[in-house]
Amino acid sequence: MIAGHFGFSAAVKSRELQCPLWALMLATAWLDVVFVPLYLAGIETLEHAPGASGYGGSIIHADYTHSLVGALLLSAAFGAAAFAAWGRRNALVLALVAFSHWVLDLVVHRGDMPILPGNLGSLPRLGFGLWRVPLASMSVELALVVAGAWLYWRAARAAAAAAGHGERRAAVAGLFMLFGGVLVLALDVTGALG
Amino acid sequence: MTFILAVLLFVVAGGLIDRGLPWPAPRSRESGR
Repeated sequence: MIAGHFGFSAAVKSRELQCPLWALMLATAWLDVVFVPLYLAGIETLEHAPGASGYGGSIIHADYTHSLVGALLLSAAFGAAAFAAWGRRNALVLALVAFSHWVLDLVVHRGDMPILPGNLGSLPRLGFGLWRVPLASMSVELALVVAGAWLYWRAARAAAAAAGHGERRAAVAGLFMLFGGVLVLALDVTGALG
Repeated sequence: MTFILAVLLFVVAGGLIDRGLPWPAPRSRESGR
């Protein structure tokens, strides 16, 4: 899941108007941002699920970044970094958005998310496996994108109306959220960029 | 690659578009401020 996370963040922005959008977007991708260097270093890996390929067809061995405790620690670290710049409320919101990544991934991942970092203790791995039904997981992602873009646009339009300027920019920003999300989902589903 | 494009799209481009909107200041909902 990629696009769905950003759709969720756009929805959060519609409720937390004071929280910078770029920080919300970075927060929602934070676990995957940390995953990238660990993947390049060979510490976290991907493999094709048996009989599956393409969208949602991977078993992801992100045993540190996507373990329950690892995700909580990374989310807390993101919130702590935000605290000095934007205060307690935004820090809490951003930490929760960062952790929302793990919750949304829990729905789609194929039972590959450990509880403790490094799968310490070999506890049961988590994941409801919605990726086994690609049409269903695509639909969930699309719903997050559309709902997030709509809620964001509605909040942006109200803020612009209250300020007496920015209505056109609000419309542009709303359309950007919608078409950006649909583009990312389409690229993810088709594997056009690899 | 899709993930990197998405981060650039939403964090950088989305953030820039959003900055031009008349949102409240980041600390406006802090208690006592």
